[in-house]
Parts: sequence; C-alpha cells; structure tokens
Amino acid sequence: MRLDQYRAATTASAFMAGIIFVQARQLSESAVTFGFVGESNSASQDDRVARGLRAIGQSLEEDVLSPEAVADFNRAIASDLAQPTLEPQLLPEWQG
Amino acid sequence: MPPLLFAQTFAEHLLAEVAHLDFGDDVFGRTAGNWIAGGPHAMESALQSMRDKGTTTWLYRLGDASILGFGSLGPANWRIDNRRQEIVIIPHLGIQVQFQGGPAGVPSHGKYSRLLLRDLIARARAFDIEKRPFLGLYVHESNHKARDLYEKMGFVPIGQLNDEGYQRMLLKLVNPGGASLV
Repeated sequence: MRLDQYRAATTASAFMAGIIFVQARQLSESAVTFGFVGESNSASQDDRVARGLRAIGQSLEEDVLSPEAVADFNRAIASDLAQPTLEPQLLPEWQG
Repeated sequence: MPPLLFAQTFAEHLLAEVAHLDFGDDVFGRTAGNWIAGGPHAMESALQSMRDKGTTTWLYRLGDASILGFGSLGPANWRIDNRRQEIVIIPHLGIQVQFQGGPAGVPSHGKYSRLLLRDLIARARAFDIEKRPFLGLYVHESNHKARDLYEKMGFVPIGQLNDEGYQRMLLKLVNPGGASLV
C-alpha cells in the first residue's frame, strides 16, 4: 500500500469511528432524555422506539416503498380495504 | 345532541395550556407530550414541525374547554422506486390518559379516538385530494392499541416494518374507483 493510500485509509477509519461515537452519544442522550437510565429491561426497546421516531421525523419528506408493498396496497384498495370505515366528519371549530 | 368535541388550530399562544398534558407514562405517551409542548425533552416540537414541514396541528376540546388531545397533518413524499407519491401524513396525535377509551357507555363508533380520526381524515381530504389522495402514518409494532384503532378505521399496513419496528399504514382518501399508488 502506498503511503498516500495508507493515510487516506486511516483518515477514513478515524472518520467512521467518529460517526459511530456520535451516534452512540446520541443514543445515550436519548436514553437520558426519556429517563430510561437504569431501566435496563425496557431501555433497548424504548431506545429503538425513540430512534425510530427520530428517523420518522426525517422521513416525512421522503420514504421508500417497495413495488411489492405498493401492489399489496393496490389490491387492498380494489377489495375495499384501505377505505375509511366511518364517514369522515369535521368537528366544529372551538369558539372559546 | 350537542357535539362532544371541538377543534382548535394550535398556535404558540396555546403553549401554556399544553405544558402539562398527560398522554401516559410509556414512550409513546411521553413522546406525544413532548411533541405538543416542546421544551428540552422534545426531539421535535409541534411548533417546529409546523414551521419547518408544513404541519398543521389541532387541539381537541370538550365542551367544558378541557383538552382531550391533539392531532396533526402534514405533507410527505413516499418514494416508489424513482417516483414520488405525495401523501398527507399524521405526524403525531395523542389523547390524554384520562380520556382514553372514553366516553364511557358510548358505542365504539362514538369514542373520542374515532371522532378525532374522522376529523383528521376529513381535514386530510381538504389538503389537495387530487395531488395527495392517501393518508399515511407510522405505528410501532408494540403499540397494539393504536394499530388496532387504525385498522378499524380502515388503514392498512404497507410494506415491512422498518429497522426500528415501525409499520407504515395508508388510507385511501378518494372515493372507490379513484387513485391507486402508481
């Protein structure tokens, strides 16, 4: 391996390690935020939920659907699933 | 019969009223409370989402002005291969613990949760039904009560759970014979 290649590789490794550290730190902070420290049984599950909520926040603008999922949904439409089961109805505006 | 519920568009001047709402002590309840109230524990607040993502949020009040909960709608893009499908999404909703399952003695179609969702569905139809003919949401696999409610309202799961255990669900807003995805 040439010296410049070695430098590039080690720099990339350090960069990746930094990313992993930041992600781990974010997870740790989210655990603190939600008050799960010490609740070892539920912490991993709740961390996962919280992490997912963050991911959802990012994906409101874009999410990827597989063609198979789309086909399944279109079949649900064709069979009258995926329709509101109760007539949508606006509630009156609060006048307080 | 007088209406059970009223909707009020949420805005900054109402923050003090939502500061101490109780949506339950599990992760979903606490997240709902943090989202509507904002503050240091919120990953994202309703006001941020309204400002940055075009979300609209409503408070739902009972006739005595007490707050039942809140609901929200916003625009989203769900990508299918290289195409974009514009949809309306429910970023968050929540019902305070004391009202969950209520009102007592009322058949299921008259429960608060269904009235709230029927209102959100009606409002989603007003977004731009030609451009956004579907209403979507995410529900966690462990949130059985919520998923059961969404299914009873006509939402169907679409695709697999994501890495964090969330299921996407969709509802068609247009009449039968209308749009399909792609």
